[in-house]
Amino acid sequence: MRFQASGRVVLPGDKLCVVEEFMPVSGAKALKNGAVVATVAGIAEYDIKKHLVSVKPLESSIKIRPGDLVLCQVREVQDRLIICDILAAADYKVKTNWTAAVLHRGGTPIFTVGDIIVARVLDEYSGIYTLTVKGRGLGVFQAFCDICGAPLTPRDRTLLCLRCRRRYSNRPLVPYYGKVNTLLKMFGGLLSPEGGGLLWRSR
Amino acid sequence: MEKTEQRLITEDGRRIDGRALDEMRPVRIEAGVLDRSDGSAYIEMGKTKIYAAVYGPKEAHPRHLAQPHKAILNCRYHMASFSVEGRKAPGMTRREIELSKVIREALESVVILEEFPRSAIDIFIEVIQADAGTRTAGLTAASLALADAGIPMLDLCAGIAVGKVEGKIVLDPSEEEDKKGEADMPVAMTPRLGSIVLLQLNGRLTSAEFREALNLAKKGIEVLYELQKKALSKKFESATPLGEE
Repeated sequence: MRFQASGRVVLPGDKLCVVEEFMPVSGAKALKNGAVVATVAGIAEYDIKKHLVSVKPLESSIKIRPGDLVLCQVREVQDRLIICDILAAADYKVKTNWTAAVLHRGGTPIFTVGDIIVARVLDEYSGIYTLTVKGRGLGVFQAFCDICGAPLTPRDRTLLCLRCRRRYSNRPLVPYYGKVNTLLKMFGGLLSPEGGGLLWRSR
Repeated sequence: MEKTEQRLITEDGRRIDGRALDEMRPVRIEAGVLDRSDGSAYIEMGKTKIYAAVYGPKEAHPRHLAQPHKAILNCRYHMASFSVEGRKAPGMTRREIELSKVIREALESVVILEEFPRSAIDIFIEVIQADAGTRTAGLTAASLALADAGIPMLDLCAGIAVGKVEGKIVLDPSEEEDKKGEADMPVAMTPRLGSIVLLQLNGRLTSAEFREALNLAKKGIEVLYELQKKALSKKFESATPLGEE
């Protein structure tokens, strides 16, 4: 069996090895006849010790991965689940919105529909991303009042609605709450069209 | 006055455009031609000119169409109004809807849809100029656009038509040969896996002619496959693996 040299560009369908030699990890797939083929265009990498073969893609189809910092808008608030749309990621452009979920303990919800939050991707299962807002620099960037829908203003580590005077104390805030310029520096050039329009409205 | 009919194959075995029976029209294939799409490709086969663009994977809409265990493939084959002689109505015709379906089914057999549950991948095939063989050229371009978008596939797929003209099997028939010929058979294959992903036949062929046509199609597909690989390699020759920029 001749191996494609490790570090060489392979294309979909290129035969890499057979399963008895190397097991496919990512960017490679074993066929029914035992041959392992590349599934994406990329660089073939053989792990001689572990007998694994993978293809490092040159072009990725999905870029959102666990650990990424993302900007979201809350779409739906349920008892223990907050459903959001991912609008942008800190390091790359997200072209279309993806659904994600933030789990919470129940009781008073920490966000309301329309809130713009900065979160970190915890996991992906079956096309749905789970997010966390626990951690430094994570939380709500722009919150809205549950009652009247007005934008909330930070006051003494809490959020105050200047229209109906209701105060919210359980929402985790990002240090740059409401500062659009800071957010644009983080996500600006990478916002999806929907995300860009959203930030423009929140100014 | 006696009416003389023009022969499509001359006495020395050449076709009206001067090609041999097993000769394809000049082909040009490029990958990554459109900036806005996730993946794109352009193919020119003689006078046939086609763009293909791929968007996704993205969330499937309407949501009830989403599959919990795999992505869905949406394919739209469309001919521009100016692509044919005489203006074509801009909407989708029955033919275009049928071709969108057969191309989608052909591509579904190579794309690893299970990697993207609840998602959708959109493929747009836009025929800019039509001169026979648009479904196979469109499929070839769409397959390249999918690979360009980084969507995992078991193999690239390429397609070409074979026809029967004046009793002879010809590769890649032109518009005139297609219209006046006795049979037309578009074939698409995955060259590495060796499986046929699309096969249609208009007209009649004997079993010997069918075998001959299929072998001729395989020969053409091999050529197209090499051109597809060249186009992809050219696109990626200066690229660095993701995460190493």
